[in-house]
Amino acid sequence: MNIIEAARVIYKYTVHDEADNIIETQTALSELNVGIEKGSFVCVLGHNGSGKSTFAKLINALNLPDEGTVVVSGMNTRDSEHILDIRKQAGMVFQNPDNQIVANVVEEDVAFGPENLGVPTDEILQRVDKVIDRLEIGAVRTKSPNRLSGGQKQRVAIAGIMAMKPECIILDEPTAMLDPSGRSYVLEAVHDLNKKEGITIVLITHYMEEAVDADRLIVMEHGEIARDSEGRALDGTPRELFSRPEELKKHSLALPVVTELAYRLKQHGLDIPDGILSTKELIDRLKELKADA
Amino acid sequence: MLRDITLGQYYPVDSCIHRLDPRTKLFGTFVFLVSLFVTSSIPGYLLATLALICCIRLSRVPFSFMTRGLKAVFILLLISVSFNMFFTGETVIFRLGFLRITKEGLKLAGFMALRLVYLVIGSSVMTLTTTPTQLTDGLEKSLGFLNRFKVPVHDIAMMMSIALRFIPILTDETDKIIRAQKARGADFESGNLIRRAKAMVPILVPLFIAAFRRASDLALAMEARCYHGGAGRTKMKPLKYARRDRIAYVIMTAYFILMFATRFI
Repeated sequence: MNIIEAARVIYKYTVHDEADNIIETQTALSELNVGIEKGSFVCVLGHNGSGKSTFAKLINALNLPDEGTVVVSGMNTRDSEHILDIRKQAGMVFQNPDNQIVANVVEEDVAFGPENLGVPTDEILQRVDKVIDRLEIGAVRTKSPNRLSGGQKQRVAIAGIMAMKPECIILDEPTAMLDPSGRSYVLEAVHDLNKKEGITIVLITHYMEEAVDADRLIVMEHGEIARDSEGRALDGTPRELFSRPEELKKHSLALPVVTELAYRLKQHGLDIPDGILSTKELIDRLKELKADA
Repeated sequence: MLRDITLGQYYPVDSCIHRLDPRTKLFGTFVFLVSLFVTSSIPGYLLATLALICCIRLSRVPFSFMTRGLKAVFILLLISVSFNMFFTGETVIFRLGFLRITKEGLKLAGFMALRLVYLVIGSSVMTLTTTPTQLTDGLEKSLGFLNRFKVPVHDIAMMMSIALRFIPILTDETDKIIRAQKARGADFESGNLIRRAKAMVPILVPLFIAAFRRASDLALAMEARCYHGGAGRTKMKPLKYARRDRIAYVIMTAYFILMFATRFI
């Protein structure tokens, strides 16, 4: 079952002059069709301006499509009655950790979402306890967000979304401003929520390494799903996509380092399969080759 | 370094004053300030002094912290005291040229100085024992009646708490911008006042742009987390009066009645 369904979505940004005349329009999404299955971990890739962030904002009803429809858990985002339900169902984590934390204390910020939804006091406390436990941020619970590391701040932001009990979390480049250790700290939490709580994850990123562990990759280009030279959509499991390195490179996406290494070794005549995703896989294959020789 | 500035100068210890509901403390401060202007006799001031000393001892905040605020009002204190001393009253006790000090003036100046000093110390007791978050919560709740007069109390309280959250972030940013401009050869230290003021422009412009960008990001993030104003909102930790608050209110009432009574001594 699809939790998010976008059908023929068109979204344009318009630039107005002082007299409110349109002087420029930019098509951010052109006829995007995509369905995201419940419980899956989907990674949306694409370089700047490919429309991936716009797509995220449409799911959360922060923007409404100019044409076409976006349906979240059976609710059309155009339906203003359901707008809070949609935002509760499909929580969103943004890029800059500082600019999405509202309260002056970590636990107060986690409670912000449920407070807005009018959840009774006792239940807010229960939810906050549970979520803080789940994301292992108990040590900073009563601290000011200003004293946390970037990775911790993003975990707090995720906790704030989790406290609203969403079905799905959309993360718009959550690791772009973090150092490598902060990045893995955040992604660990995201994978954990996907596996143990069954939360659907839509991770928007341009780090290929983050895409490796996803169930499905979608490459976006010019506001739609990118296509290879034969017209096939670049949409599939990481192994499928990374088996076609030339196609990814055409869309100016870099391969993960291991995949790139395996690909080059193969070009130099070693018998290595396409779409190597982990260091272990590559080492195992190389050992086999050595044993054969 | 800059982010270590404590806002609202909260002094974190555990005391019965710290544990009071912020509304109680706000009201108490208000009562104390009014009482200072109700009385104008020596017994009255003795009573106020006693009350203040009790509060300070109970709060377990070192006295030196209380007097820090006095530096800021020192000039004001000096001006008001000298005006009262030199230009009021009839019974002259000392004369130097056109300056004369009168008995009534001296008394008035003394009371004025005490009032100002107590005003500052009294409000310091509140700000030192209440976190900024509690303070905004308390203000929102106790000014709630203004909603009826179409004053957006919740919105103002929300703005205050967001401002508190972003002050350290923006201070950090200012620091960064100053360093970036210095690295490009900007000179903030030399020249006269006008030159220095002009030198601030390259700091303020990027700071403003950054602040607006943050504001728009934050608005989006708040909307994504279902924020839709104060209507239908619940609280994780709603303010609740405890027994100690009731006791405090009783003491405050008694204090005020006594202060009022000193007028008729």
